[in-house]
Order: sequence, then C-alpha cells, then structure tokens
Amino acid sequence: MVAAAGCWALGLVGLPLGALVWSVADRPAEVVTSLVMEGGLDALGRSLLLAAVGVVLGLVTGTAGGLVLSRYRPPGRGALDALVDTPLAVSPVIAGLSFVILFGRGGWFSPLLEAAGVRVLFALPGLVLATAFVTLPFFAREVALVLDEVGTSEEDGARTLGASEWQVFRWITLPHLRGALRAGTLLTVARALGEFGAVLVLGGAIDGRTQTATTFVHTMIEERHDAAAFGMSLVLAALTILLVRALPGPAQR
Amino acid sequence: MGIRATGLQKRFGDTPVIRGIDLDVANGELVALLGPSGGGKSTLLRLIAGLEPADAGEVWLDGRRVDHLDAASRGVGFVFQHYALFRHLTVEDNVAFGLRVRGVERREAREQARALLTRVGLEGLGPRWPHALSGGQRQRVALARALAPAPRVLLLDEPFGALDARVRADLRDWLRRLHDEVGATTILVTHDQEEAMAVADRVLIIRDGLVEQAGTPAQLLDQPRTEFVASFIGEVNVFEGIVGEDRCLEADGVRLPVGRALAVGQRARAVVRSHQLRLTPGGPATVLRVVPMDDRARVEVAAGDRVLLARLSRDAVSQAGIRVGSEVTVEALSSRAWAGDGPPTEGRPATHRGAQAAPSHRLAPARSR
Repeated sequence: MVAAAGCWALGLVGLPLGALVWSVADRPAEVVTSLVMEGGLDALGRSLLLAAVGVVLGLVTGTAGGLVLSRYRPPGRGALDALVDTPLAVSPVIAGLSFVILFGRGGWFSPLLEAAGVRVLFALPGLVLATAFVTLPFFAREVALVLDEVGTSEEDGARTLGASEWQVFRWITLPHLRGALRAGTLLTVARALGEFGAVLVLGGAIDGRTQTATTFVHTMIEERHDAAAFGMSLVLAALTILLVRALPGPAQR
Repeated sequence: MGIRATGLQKRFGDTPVIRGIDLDVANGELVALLGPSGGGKSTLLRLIAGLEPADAGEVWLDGRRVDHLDAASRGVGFVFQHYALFRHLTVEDNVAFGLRVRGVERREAREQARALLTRVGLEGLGPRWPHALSGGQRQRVALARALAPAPRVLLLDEPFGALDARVRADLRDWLRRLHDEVGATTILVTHDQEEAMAVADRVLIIRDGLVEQAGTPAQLLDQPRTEFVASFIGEVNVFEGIVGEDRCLEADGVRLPVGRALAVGQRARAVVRSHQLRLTPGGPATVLRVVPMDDRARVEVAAGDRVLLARLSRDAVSQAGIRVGSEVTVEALSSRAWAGDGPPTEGRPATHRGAQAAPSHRLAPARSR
C-alpha cells in the first residue's frame, strides 16, 4: 500500500520535476542567458508584483469577508458563502472572458473607462483583476474557518471586561487569526504566481507590459526558446514548493 | 440596590426563551438561578450582562439603568462555563486584560493581576499558559480575571459545570467564602440543586422562561409552591390518586394524608420527600436495594408496580433489620398535594399508624423519581 502510494506520487510529481531539473542542469549557462535575453526577469517581476497586490487585497477584503461570514451572519449568508467559493469551481479562462464582456472594447463599462482614460484590458489593471478573482476564496475561507472553530466566548469575555469592539478585534480576534492569515498569504501567493488562463485572457501576454511568468513560459515554447521556458518553469516550481513547505500544519492554524 | 430586572423578554426566532421575568437581587446578595437545561437561565444572565439584547424589559445595575448599554459599558464581571480564557495570553495577562483596556499601564496591571492570583490561591502561576492548567485552576483564573476591574456585580454561568464532582464541591465552598470577602452582588446559574442550595442566599427556580418560585433554600424545600418545585429539589416520590373520605390519598399501597383543602373524590397528586417515608417490618412492599451513603441509607422499595425511594439513617435500617428482600410497610410522615394547578395543601397523619379501613380507590399509575 505504502509502496504503491509512493510509486504513484513519485511517478506523477517526482519524475516530471526531475526531468525539468535534468534538462536545465544540462546547460545552465544557456538557460540563464536565454531567460534574461527574452525578458524573463521582467515577467517574473510582474508576477511577484501581482502576488503582492493579491495578498494586500486579500488581507483586507478576505478578513472582512471572513468576519462577515462567521460573526455577523447576514440574512443572505448561504448565497455569499457559495459566491466566495465560486472562483475555485469556475475555470479561470471563463472568468477572464466574463471580465472582457464588462471591460473590453464595447463592453458594459467601456464608456466609463474611456471617459476616465483608464485601460483595464491588456494592461496591469486587467492582471490585478484576474489575480483578485482567482485568489478571492483563500483569505475569507481560512479566516471564517478559524473564527468558527475559536467561537465567540473569548470575544464575549473581553466585552464584559470593558473592551471596545475595536479592542476586541485588535487584542482577541486578530491574534487568533495569525495562522489563518499566514495560510491565506501563502495560498494567495502560490495561486497568483501559477495563474495562467485568466491573466492570458485579460492581459494578452504582451512583452514588457502584461507578460507574467506563466504566460512567458507559454510564449517561449511557442517561439521555440526551450531553454528560457525550462528555466522559468524551474524557478516557478521551486518558488511554489518552498511556499507550500512553509504552510502551517493544522495544529498551528 | 444590586441587580434589578423588570419584564424581561427574549425570543430566538419563533421560540420564546425568556417570557417576562422580574428579578431583584439585594446589594451583596448571592442568588442562584436553578432549573432544568433549556429553561432560560443562561439567556437571562446574558441579557443582564448585555451579551444579548433583550426584546423587552429593563435592567438596572447598582441603581443605574443599563439595558441600552453594550456589555463593555455595563461593568459586570462574567464567568463562563468553559472559562473562555484568552488562549494567546499568559495567565497574568488574562487577569490583567480588564485593567489594560481601562488604560492601566502594563507593569501596574500585571502587578495587580499577580496579587489577585495570590488571592484565588494560584500564586506563581502567572507566567503559565491557560492550557497548561487544570479545569479547576482555569476557572479560578477566570474568576480572578472577572474580579480584576472590581465589578459591583458578578455573573457566573454554570461556572463549575465542566468540572468533576470533587473539584466542584471544593470550589463552591471556596466561592462562597470569596463572595463574602469581596461582597459583589452575585448571580450564579446552575442546574445542580445541591450547588444552588449550598452556595446561595436565595434561589430562583427558572422553568420555561419564567420564575417558578423564589425563596431561601429552606423555603423552597419546606414550602414548594408547585409540584415542579417540590419534585425538582431533593429526592422525592410522586403519587397520584383520588382523595378519600378520610382526607387521605391512597396510592401504591401508601396512605397519604392531604389536609382539608382538597375535596373528597378529587383527583390529586402528592409529593413525598424520600426522608419523609417510613419503613416498618412486615407488609406488602419488598426492599430492592439498600445503598449506604454516609450516615444515611437510600432504600429502594417495590410497592405495587413501582419503585419508591426512602432515605433513613443507617442505624434505623439495621435496627429494623431492613435488607434486600425484606417485606415492609411504607408510610408517609408528611406530604404536599396538588389538585390540578391549585395551591398546595400539606398533610400530616394524626397518628403514624394509619387506619386500615380506608376505602380502596382505583389508582392511576404514578411516576416515580
């Protein structure tokens, strides 16, 4: 049983990753040069920026969303709950397309955007939109889960001791959320770095403007720059593996 | 003036939980709210603390109307059944919390916290984490934490409910002594009647969102107003039957004098405490079990098709030669009887040796407790 599981995991994950490492280790100098020459650093930087923006957005909106879901229990809680999980179920390509209908040329909001002189599609705001959409569930889910588990009695205790609602949040609720926020951050970064479909549809993989690490890999393969594609893939794989390793276990959450 | 509430009402959805409660606790008094689970005791306490908003009614603490204030502004100490200690703070920071939110500087707050910990018998445990303490210790920390801001009113929600019997008994005696020292007006919620009787100056029996009866422990024991109160407190036998010509209720082979308030031929229920049953050798009933408890013995007797509980001194048991299998006659030394929802009547036999000539009635099966 253990041996079978080990073989399965090794064959499915270890083998291809090993092949990736192998193909890069074969010609390290060529890979690095190609990566730099084809604009890989620019694409990677953009991906990291998107991950950071995703984390900031998630920290604020996700924590608020988790609080609403778990503590305030509004009348439409069930619907909101399902809505938060939707990005996990819907294909990012479809999500990207829906945003095109809203923000694209002749889209619902295009008169508004043109008046303001803002470009969303094929520009950085489109990439941010794509990232915000695919990472929406992570913070809210983690926060709501922990809040449900911790319960309200410590917060009630703090209230009877004279703590204002802000003091309750700052000194009781927030410390309980440390693990959840850390997990939310790691999941959001991993997802933002790895997202492909939505950023391709909304950004268009334009060199120097909307190219991200994943779309860079795609472009390099299409243009037969295999070395650059392998190099970027290895960098992304290494980054995400490190992130997942840093995830807190259930006991720490 | 300690705690006063008038006309309190609360419903959760369509379910009324508090259905109009008035409450008056004198300054420095310790009152227990006693009743079955789901009767509304804890909700009542949370309404007083401001942890739940009331649908109707007023709450006054220390002569100040507070029902429009949130919990933080009411200044009550509250102790929860499951402690609700802040898991991310050390024991002394838990206790210091109520001082810190009032702007007391950290060192000063910790010093006061350590003094309070000493007072509740936990000297030196300040740097520990709550999860490293036993249940009894945690509840003492919770109490110290609630006492830190020196509240005039202390509300305890089943504080010993999660502890084992031995620790419970120790803690409740300790709590009473602490209450007398601190002098805060206190309400204690419990479903344990022994705990309520042992600790409280006065007990309020809460049932189905209403106060069934309020009184001192002795009043509730000796003058229960309803059958519910009579049977909820202590160990009792409940009989049901029809009042005979001789003003006695005869049920399950036991004759129960019911006094003159009930009409002959009326259907009534009578409650007899287990220590008010007398057993004499020879008769229709059979002893099933004899359970020694300290100097008393609890004797289970099969009478007719039910089991009666009698509590006598162990001396009396051995003198009468009562043991499992003995045949005995059961007599009631006193009883309280109710007809429908009417007031209770008390009856005592003229002589303990009841007459044998009572007319026999068809008796409804009565429940035993």
